[in-house]
Amino acid sequence: MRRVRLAALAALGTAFSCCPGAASAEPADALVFDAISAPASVSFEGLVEDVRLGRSGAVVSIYRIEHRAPDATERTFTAPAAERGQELITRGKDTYAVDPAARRIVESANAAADDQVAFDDNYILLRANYRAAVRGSESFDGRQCDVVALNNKYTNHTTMLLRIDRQTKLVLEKQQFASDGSMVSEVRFESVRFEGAPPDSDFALPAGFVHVAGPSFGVPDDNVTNLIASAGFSARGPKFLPDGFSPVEGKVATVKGVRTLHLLYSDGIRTISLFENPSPTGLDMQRFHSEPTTVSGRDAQYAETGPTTLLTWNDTALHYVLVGDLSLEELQRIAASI
Amino acid sequence: MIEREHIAPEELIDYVHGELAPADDARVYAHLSACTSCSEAHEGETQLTEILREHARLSEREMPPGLADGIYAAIRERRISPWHRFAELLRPAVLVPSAAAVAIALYFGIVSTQGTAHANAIDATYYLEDHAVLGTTVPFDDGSIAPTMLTSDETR
Repeated sequence: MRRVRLAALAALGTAFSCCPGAASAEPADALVFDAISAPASVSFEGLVEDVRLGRSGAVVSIYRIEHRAPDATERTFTAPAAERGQELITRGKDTYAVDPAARRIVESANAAADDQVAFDDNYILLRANYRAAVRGSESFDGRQCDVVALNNKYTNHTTMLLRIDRQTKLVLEKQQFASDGSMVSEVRFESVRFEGAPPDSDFALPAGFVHVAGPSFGVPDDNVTNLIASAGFSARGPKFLPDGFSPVEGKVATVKGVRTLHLLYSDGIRTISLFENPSPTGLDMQRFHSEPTTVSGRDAQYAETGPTTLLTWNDTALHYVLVGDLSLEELQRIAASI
Repeated sequence: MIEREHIAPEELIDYVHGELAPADDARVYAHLSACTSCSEAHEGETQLTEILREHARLSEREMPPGLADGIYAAIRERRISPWHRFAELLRPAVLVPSAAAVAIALYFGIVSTQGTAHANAIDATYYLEDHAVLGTTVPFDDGSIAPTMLTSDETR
């Protein structure tokens, strides 16, 4: 959950709101800041519907959520059918995927959850690239909410629409839109309740299950220049990025014996990952329906899962994968600039 | 420097599991490329990790208790002379299925060799998951990598 360096960024928020002509945005900026910080101080439970829409299909999850501030969360899935009854228990950077049918717990760790510098950088990018505007107030799920739009400063399009609970500042509904105005995702609460912190037992792991080591995601580095230099091969960055995007963090990991560089670019809401490795073995796309395309005349493969897009190709030295929230055309333009 | 100071076992384990800070990770990577001893230790640790993961995965389908002991006991009780053992191998009931088994093994051996590159290919799901993981630092991210995590194969 979001942990923003409160004092420093609150000061930044004040500085932004003091800019000429920004007076009307002050309440909206404050609401956005409070909404980002809310899960670190507010415990809650409810039902969540998470819909992610792609060009040719949608990924839908429905789960019951129980959150204890600042960083313990349990999600119990009721949909899709393949995940019914499964649980995700997150305690800080550790996540446990509990599969009652197989009596198995897959343990994984996400060191990025502790990357305070990246959290702060992303918030600053959000402030730099998006203009917050209050659209009004309304009742949502029986609670009074403020409706706040985050409009892209380069395109003036609304990228995100938030319904923020007036009392707790928790985001009860979040809609994200593509640059053409189409909705790409919606996350909404139902029957949300704020009844104090749930007990430890609610986040305990069931006994008698087989524990399996899942993926462990190492410590990211916020110095992207150093990261590229230490990749161990001649890594390259893109010369073109969409308006507002900047490098935020990255890491080098060894995947199936192949040293792989991962760089994350963000505009504060949308993200793009660039992976590079000197892999002679390529990419297994069996789980996806991929389609052939090109990057600068070279053969490439493109795939989607919900709104997340993936483009992969090779040049004479390296294998590349771009993953993000962007269209094929945008990914191809970034790819061509590498 | 590289030749004199080998990588400590604990640090090598952290390296295999991607737990090192980037600077340490780069240092170990550089050392491994120049040190045969540590490179062999790294290979061994990687194989051990794979074996442990495979064992954990298979342990969900363990044989019934006592079955293995029963099989070994039956083998020990059945004492056959070397000559009888050789003669049994020449019986058509044994020889024909054995030849077929050898042919099948050869066929699948060739097929699996040809398919090695595919088996070693990195699953695209890894890239999606890793993207989602670093994306958790973006405001209003749900902090959940649920859909791929729950359905993914942990031995990937």
